[in-house]
Amino acid sequence: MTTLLLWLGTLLMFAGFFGILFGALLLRIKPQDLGRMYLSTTMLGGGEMSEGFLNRVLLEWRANDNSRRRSALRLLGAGVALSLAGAAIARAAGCSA
Amino acid sequence: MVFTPEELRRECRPLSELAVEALDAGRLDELRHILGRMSAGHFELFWGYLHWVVRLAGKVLRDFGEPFFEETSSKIAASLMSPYARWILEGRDKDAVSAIVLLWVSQKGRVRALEETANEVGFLLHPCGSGGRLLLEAWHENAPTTYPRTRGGSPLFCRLCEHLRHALNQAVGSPFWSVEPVAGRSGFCRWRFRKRDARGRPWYAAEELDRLTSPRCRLALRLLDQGNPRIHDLLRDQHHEWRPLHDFLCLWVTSLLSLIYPAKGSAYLSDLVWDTYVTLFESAYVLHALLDDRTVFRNLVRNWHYHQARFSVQEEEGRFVFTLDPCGSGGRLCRGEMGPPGSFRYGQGLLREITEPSDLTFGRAPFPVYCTHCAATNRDQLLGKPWPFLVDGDALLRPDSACRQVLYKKTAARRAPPELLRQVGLDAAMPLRKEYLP
Repeated sequence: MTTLLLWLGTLLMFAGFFGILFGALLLRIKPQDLGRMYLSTTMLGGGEMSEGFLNRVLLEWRANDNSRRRSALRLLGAGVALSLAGAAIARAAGCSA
Repeated sequence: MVFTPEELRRECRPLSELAVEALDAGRLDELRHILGRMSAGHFELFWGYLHWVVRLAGKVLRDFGEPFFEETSSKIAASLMSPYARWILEGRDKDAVSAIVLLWVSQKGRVRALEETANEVGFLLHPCGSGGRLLLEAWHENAPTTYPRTRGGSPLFCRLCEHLRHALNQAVGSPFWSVEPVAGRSGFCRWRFRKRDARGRPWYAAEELDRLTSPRCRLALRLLDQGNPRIHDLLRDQHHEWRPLHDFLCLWVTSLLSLIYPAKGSAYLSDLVWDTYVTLFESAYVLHALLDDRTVFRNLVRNWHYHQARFSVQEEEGRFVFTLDPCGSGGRLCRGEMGPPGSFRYGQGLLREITEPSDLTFGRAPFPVYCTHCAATNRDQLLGKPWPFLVDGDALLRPDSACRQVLYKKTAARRAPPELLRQVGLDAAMPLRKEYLP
């Protein structure tokens, strides 16, 4: 049980780390770099401005700056929360061992 | 030889013909694959024209300032919108609206019909496939010199679009077409067309609107998914579907070159073509270096079909010779086949020929101004680039003659025919630069 909880805590901390990383990147990304990413995704689909997931998400962030900031802050918040939860679980598991 | 005569005949067929064949034989998986290729069949050409238009506008704006750019763009817009204005004045408002919407449906953006009211019909571009695409892809931020904005901050293509709308409204004498960018959504636009005399009658049935705003390949796939295989009409000659947009962009370019030549001279015209087109053609050389002969050939065949050409091909030792009767842009322009029938012809309206011979006219005159880009790319290729697209400048001497274009195989000896060198003022071809070596 202790090992499982330690694994779970570590996993959550990892997920939190990636959330913080992507959130920070999305918050700091320059509009022109997001534009380049959008260009790449449309080009991969033969120029189609499609409704596929990646295309839709990038379009939303590129077309609406507020939405990009909101998504970035949500990712950051979720990342911090996951990291703290993971750390707490891992600590509790470590103490009980 | 790369192909047997039978293989060559098969390779030259348009994708639409292959799709019909797969449908008739019940090979639906293959048909879906071909439909995917068909839906993107014109994209390289559209992308090329879109960027050429904006690069031309950008260079004119940079070199001569905003008043000249504005005057030139408004003259071009008035000329290009004149057929649509004529339709509206004849009472064919719906035909004009459908034709304008169709120009945007072919751009691979997304167009949705808004609810039609007694007074207007609306469309949402979410996002727009031309101006919106350029804006979202951040060309003005990544290459601000080539893709500048106006003093007022408008992206260039959007400004050109404003000129089109203004020209149409001015010609019909009322605010017929209005455009409103969607607040907080870059690249999204809402269009409204005011019904001048509909007496509350709806213009479009729901099905008609769906058909108008959906490209044929998308409709065909939808019907296939519903188990309906009666899609022959959607497949047949699908490469002609985007012809109105192809012609519109080609005419914009030709009109600009025709206005610049008398105003700024042939030296500047040459500079303009080299700066805006020849550099854009670089991707063709990179592709040529990366791909094998068969793939390069197939790509070119597809592009000629979507470029609205009628052509035949002969394979010779070291090269493929395309006889274009006519070429889909320059050749059709010379024959007055571009745009709505009878609307655009050299010597009428804005379209002009060049009157003095130079490297840019294959050394002859009078010379159709649009074909100058072929002379420029010929010279560029002979100066150390691969030879995927050498044009015989003596072929199109009369409007009814066929043009001749040659694709050299990658292993062919680099021996340029003397007449091609003479046409662009060179004595010898330079060896292939190392960055293009296969």
